[in-house]
Amino acid sequence: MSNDIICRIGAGAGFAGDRIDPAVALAASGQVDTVALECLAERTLLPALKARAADPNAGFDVRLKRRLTPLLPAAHATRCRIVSNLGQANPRAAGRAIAKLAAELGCTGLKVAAVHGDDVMDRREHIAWDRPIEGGLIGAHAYIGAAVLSQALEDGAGVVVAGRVADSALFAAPALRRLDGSAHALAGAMAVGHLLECSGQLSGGNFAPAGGAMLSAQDYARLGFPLADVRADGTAEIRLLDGAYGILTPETATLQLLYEVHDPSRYITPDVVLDFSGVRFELTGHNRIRMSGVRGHGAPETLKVAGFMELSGWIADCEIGFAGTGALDRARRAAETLRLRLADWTDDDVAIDLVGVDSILRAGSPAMTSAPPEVRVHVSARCADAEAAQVVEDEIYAMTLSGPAGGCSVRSERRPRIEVVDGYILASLVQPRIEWSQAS
Amino acid sequence: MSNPSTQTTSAKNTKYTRVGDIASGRAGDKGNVLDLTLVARDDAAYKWLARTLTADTVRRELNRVVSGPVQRFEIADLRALKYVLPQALSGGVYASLRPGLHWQKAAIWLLLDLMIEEGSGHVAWQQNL
Repeated sequence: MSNDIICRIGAGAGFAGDRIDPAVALAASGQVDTVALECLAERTLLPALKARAADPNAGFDVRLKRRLTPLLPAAHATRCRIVSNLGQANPRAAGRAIAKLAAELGCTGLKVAAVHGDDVMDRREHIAWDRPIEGGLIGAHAYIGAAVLSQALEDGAGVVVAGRVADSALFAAPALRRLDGSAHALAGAMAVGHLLECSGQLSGGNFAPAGGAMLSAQDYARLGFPLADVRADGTAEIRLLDGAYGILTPETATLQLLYEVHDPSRYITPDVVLDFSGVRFELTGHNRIRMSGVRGHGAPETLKVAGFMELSGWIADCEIGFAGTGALDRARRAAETLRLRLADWTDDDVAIDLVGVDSILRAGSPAMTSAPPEVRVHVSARCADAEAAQVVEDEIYAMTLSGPAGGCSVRSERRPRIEVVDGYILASLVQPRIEWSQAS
Repeated sequence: MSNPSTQTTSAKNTKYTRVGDIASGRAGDKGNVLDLTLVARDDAAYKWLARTLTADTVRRELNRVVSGPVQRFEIADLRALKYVLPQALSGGVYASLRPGLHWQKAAIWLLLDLMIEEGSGHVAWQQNL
């Protein structure tokens, strides 16, 4: 059996706010037949659900127009297709908005497939949750697989827009119908998806080799996103465009392959359970590797569900700065003072530490080698209501008048208390559907 | 990028190697679960890390910062070790009392900054040497 390249997939985005220019460069290159864009983290869905509740034509990525205005014409010119979950909580409305935008941009005839059916809020009694639901459940979305996306592409979609889909499925969908039919090939295509779904994290972003060297600012500023030439057996060559900035090696690929994976021999996707224990990466050229050895072990009977709870209250997160000689000592004294003032908060509900010293790694921070010329005191506190959050913010501000000298540059933010809870639903209870629109 | 070289620190006449000088790493999160990946720069480094950075040792060193058990997976063909801490990020990204969101991106330094004594394989916190 021939083992030809069956599709060429570009990584267009790894999160909702990702850079736009790398996707445009891939689409314009003529070297990919599909660009896939991952634009939906758990935290992104919650504001989208609220927007949809307020307006039935809202609830998709607010960046849709800004992202697709340069991308649609570039992709249309090279007959490159676009697959994305930027439909967020309302893929059908996103599909209509994309068709309208495509018409305005002159992409006449473009077919847009909106994939919906991931919202399982109306089947919540069939969801087995990992832990009890506290407070109100705001939304419940199943991670759907690649089959429906693939169907849309085979039926002629120029753009496929979905909501909650397994991230790797977005990138694997173009390969699905052309694979050799084995579970290992399917697993290989999904592994390609897993490698591409975080865009720049495969090509030098968030990466330091042993010893801690960095790329240049020019590399980080113009980092190319990766693309994959997938073969029928699920092996792939993964690379950057010629001349692109960044670095793609077996090491960057290994870090991304295992990223947010727990048991590497059992990584569960809706379409197939992946086993990475036999994966091999081979350097085949400059910023070019070959991936092989992914194994697949059947599809799970259930789909993962992400549920959202909003608990009452807020987290107040505030800072006050100190600068000049003695800044560290004054900051430490302010921190002690704030702990006394916030006596109503237990140690479990308040954190007071020094930005620039130990606010992130806490007891795991490296020792200080010299006193920093400026330091910020940070306070985060769980607050039962908005009034309690204001108390914390006011106590920080009061340091400017009643605390150690020179307290300055105060800032604060309040975050709602959101919790994401995982659940499972029988795959047979989730029937994704396609709604078509066309750019006239 | 320059080719990194092993650095050793001398303390009390013993030599220690920093994990981050012989391995690269990345932290990830899903809900409460923190996952830490190390990729050794060569086979010898992999064998040494696999022998010395056991799940128990990593738990002992990391529990000063994050709570709960540690599970380890070995992916020898990729020279990689995976540590999974199911309770480390209790409540998830939004429940954190650190400044801003996503502190856990830095959590890989909890491993990279560990020091391993040559010979004995004893693992110690960098700042305790």
